[in-house]
This record gives sequence, structure tokens and C-alpha cells, in this order.
Amino acid sequence: MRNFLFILFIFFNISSYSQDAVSILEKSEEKIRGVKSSYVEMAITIERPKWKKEMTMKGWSVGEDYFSSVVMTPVKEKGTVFLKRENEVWNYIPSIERTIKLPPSMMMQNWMGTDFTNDDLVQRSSISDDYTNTIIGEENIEGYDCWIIQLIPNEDAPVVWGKLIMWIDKEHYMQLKTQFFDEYEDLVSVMTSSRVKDFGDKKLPAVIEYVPLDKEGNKTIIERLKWNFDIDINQRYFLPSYMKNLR
Amino acid sequence: MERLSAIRKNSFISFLLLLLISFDTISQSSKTSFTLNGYVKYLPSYMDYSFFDKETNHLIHNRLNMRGYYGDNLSLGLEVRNRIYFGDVPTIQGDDGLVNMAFYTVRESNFVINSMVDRFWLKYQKEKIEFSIGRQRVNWGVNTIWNNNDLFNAYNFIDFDYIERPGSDIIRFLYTGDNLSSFELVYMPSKRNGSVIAGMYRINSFGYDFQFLAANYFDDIVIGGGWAGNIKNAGFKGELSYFIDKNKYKNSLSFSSSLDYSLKNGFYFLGSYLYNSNGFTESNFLSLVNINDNVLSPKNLMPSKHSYLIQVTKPVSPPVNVSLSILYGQGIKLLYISPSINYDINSRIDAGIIGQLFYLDNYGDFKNIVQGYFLQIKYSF
Repeated sequence: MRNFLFILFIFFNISSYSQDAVSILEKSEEKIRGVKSSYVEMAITIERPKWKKEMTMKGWSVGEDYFSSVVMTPVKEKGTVFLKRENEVWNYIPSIERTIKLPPSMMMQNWMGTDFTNDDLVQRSSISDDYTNTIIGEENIEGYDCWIIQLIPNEDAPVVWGKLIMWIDKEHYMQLKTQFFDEYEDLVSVMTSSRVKDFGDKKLPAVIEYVPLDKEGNKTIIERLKWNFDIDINQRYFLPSYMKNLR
Repeated sequence: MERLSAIRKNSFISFLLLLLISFDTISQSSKTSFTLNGYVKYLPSYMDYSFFDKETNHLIHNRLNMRGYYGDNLSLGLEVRNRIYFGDVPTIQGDDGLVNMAFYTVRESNFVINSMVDRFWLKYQKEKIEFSIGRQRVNWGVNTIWNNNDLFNAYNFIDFDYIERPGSDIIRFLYTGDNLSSFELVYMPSKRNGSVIAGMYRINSFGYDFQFLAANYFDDIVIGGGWAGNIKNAGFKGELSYFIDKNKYKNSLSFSSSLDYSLKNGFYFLGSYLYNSNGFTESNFLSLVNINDNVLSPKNLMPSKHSYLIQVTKPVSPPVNVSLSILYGQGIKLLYISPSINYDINSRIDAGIIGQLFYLDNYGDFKNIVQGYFLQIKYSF
């Protein structure tokens, strides 16, 4: 009986702890996506030891299921659109005026030469549904008290990573740092956030730096130039037939 | 007569200019805007034929893409393709449209300047309805390499210098329904071969995009359809069109399917098959003429009855991309090998080298008949 109580205690303890991790993640995801919708304008810089590329794009999202983005610069890629609806992804290429349905294997490819995958961009996987989450510690990052949360992907989840460790600040639920591990539990890349500022009434980091550790001198930097939340977005922005009109 | 046509062409250009200027003037007001993009390309090529003299030519290719937006619903598109050829000038395809919008400024035996308006449309778009009129591209393909459903403008993957493809002079209506369904109706009047009226219905279910088409297409009635989805993590796409000859001479079936897959390290593999009931099953020296033809018909996408294609691409580094395509036409024994490398120099400049090697069986003698090498330097603006 004591053993049983002990097991029950551990079980409840863990489950309540993991429930906390889930609600923290959900709050922090909701912060980025808005309760209803979001609109973002961003500048992306890809750095290589002897090469550099800059691009700008606009993105619209509704919940975690609908996302579309259009490339504004460089001009040669202007008008390129990525659209995600639930588990399906399309890519519109303006030079051939064609919408292409992307196979799931394409999701693991780097997106337009960045260090991000297509999956990172369209966020096809859901942090709260596709992972089992636990709080594993606490740490202060640049003046913000953070929870450290471990995310292990569930079986069959459409996920590229073996494990994620995320630092989320306790006051504003900002994702300040993420470590990405491969299936052998080796640390592959690190994402750090900086330049916290006000976007409307929300405090969020304007800059994200993504550094793959196995490639020296490689880095992708994303800067949010404009970030609005819970605005009205026309549903047609998430239709394959409308992709050609996004600008 | 020549002078008359020159005046007509000049007045056409003046009209276009006037249109652009007026758009530019209106663009001062709040909801109107105008954009101009395009590229200039330098493309020298060297062709080594086993049965003709070697050819070298230089092409300066400029494209202007103009858009005018008036409010949220009305837009205008105008795109012009200007080409300057010197050296061994190849045959330049004329304008097949309702209105001739192609003309030569210079036409010497080894120096040619040719311009063509290949998009010129006006579009009205509001909520679920889209209506457009003028010269535009109707891209009905969903498959990767061969597009049997692409009735208005079959895509020729060998012609890398003209991925935009010519436009068709049409009236187009698109209605977007619920659950990703849509209906599209296209009418193309034609001076020569009778008009075309075609409808397409699209729907999305089980994670697949499906499309169904029916058309009164020149001498044929066409029924067909296509799909784009996946099997596990690989992309699985295909298209089928059946042409029923109104003169009861010969019906044709055109079908293709493809599988593609990407590895985590960036390797991309594509395999595709094409069936063409009009294709040849035996050696035929003329088949090369067909494959290089600019005007592809969805009824006759390849000269062979059974064709197979494998393509592998790999980004060596973010700016450098290499690819290899191998195509085989069974029966006619046509082999096409095309390696290429592309370098993304900066945000405006790309450079690439493309090789095109054709091998063909000529009555039992299988040999290389054409080697083409191309350099491409492209500046986008």
C-alpha cells in the first residue's frame, strides 16, 4: 500500500509537473502566434564564411494550422510563397507561375538556403501535441528568470529533432534560447533570442540567431521589423488558388 | 506594307507606353501602385552537331515584368521579352496569338533583335471570384516534369531559357469554393484552328490535390485529371488526358506520373514516367526535331511512346547547386543527359553552366548527335 501511494505520488507529481511544462509552452506559443492570428515582416540574413545573403519577407498566420509567407527581396525570389494548411504545404514559384505541393520529405530540407528547415518555417509540428514536455531546471538568462523545459518528440510525430531544450522566461513567456539535439542526443544547433522590445502590448525578442554547431561560420539571423497580433486576416490568404496574388 | 506594319507596331508601343505612364501618374494616388522587375541575361552557347556544322551564338536576353494595381481588386500585367542574338542565330518562334505582339527591330543573317509581349492582361479579383482577360499563362500542370493537363502551355523542361513560357490570348474565370475546391473556365478564340473552351474543377481530400478537366480543344474533346499528394514521405503526382478526335480519326492517351524525395543532407531525387500513345516505338531520326521543338502539345509531349526521367539535385553549399537529369525514350533509343551547376553570386547575380547531350539510335548506330554547352549570367532587378 505504501508502495502504491509512493507510485501514485510520483505519478501525480510528474504529471502535474509536465502539465505545467505544457501550459508554459502553450502560453509562449500563443504569445508568438497571437490568440487568433499574427502578421510579421522580417529580415533574414544568412551568413557563411565567405558568403552572405539578405532577404525580407511577410508572413500571416491563424492559429497553428494556417500559415503563409511571401518573399519581398531579393528581387529574383520576389513573390515566392509558402503556404501551410494543417499538414499540407504548397510552394508558389512566380517565374513559372506554378503552385507545387511539397512532399513531407521536403520539410527537412533547408528553407531557401537558411539554416532553418522548411518545417521550422511553416511550423508543421506542434510543440504541445508532438512532444512530451518536462521542466528540468531553472536559470537566469540576460536578466530574465527562465524555466528550462525538455521536449522529447512523440513516436510518429513529424519532427526532425531527437530532443529540444528550451529556456522560457517566467514573466513574459519569451522563448529566449533553444538547443536542438539529433536522434543520437548530440547537440546540433542553438537558437538564441535578443533585443527584447514592445510589439503592441507584448514584450518579445526582435532578433533570433540560429547557429548550427557542426558548420563553423554558419549563422542565420532573423529580425522582426513589424509584428502585429490578433488582426483580421482574410481567409483567402491561406488558399492555394490565392498564392499568386500575395504581395 | 512594311511601313504600314511598322506604324502599327509603333502605335502599339506608344499605346503600351501611354498605358504605363498613365498608371504611373495614377500611382501617386493612395491605393494605386506600379512595379517593374525583370532580368538581363547573357547566354553564350556552343552547339556541336554530328550532322551539321558547329554553331556558336551569343544571346542577350532581357525580360520586363510590369504590374499595376488599382485598389484591391484590379490589376494589370505586362511582360516583355527582348532578345539580341549574334552569331549563328537560331529560328525564332513567331507569335501564335490572336494579336501579333512580336516584332523584329533588326533581322540580319547573324544579328537579330526580337521583342515579344508574352503577358498582357487585366484582372479583376474580389473574394471568391477572379476574372481576367488578355494574354496570360494558364498553368494547369500539377506533375513535376511532364504536364499532360497543361492544355494551354505544356512546359518543356529542356528549354531552360524560357521557363516563363508564352502566354495564351484568353478569357478566364475562376471561382474559389469551400474546402479548397475551385472551378476555372477558360475560353481561347483562335483565328486558325477553331477556338478552345476548357473547364477545370479542383478539390482537396485525403491530403491530395485532385483536378478534373474537360475541354473542346481544337480537333479534339479532352477529358482528363491529375493529382498531387504523397506516399509516406515521398511526393506522388500524376496527370492523364484523353483526346477524343472529333473527326473520328485517332484518339490519343497522354499520361505521366512521378515520385520525388528529399534527403536530410539536401539530395533531391525525382523519377518520372510518360506514356504517349502517339509516340514512336522504333528508331526514328526525326524524333530529335520534336524534342527540341518549342511548341509542345500535351498530346505529344515526347516523341517516344514510353519515356523515363531521373533527376538528382544537390545544394553543395547555399550558393552552389548542382543537378543531373537523364531522360530515356524507349524504342526510339533517345538518351538525353543534362548536367548543370548554378552559382548564386549575390542578391542580384546568378551564374550557371548547362550541358545538353543527345544520343540517338540512327538505324542501328547509337551515337552522340548533339552536344550543347551554355553559360548563363543573369542580373535580376
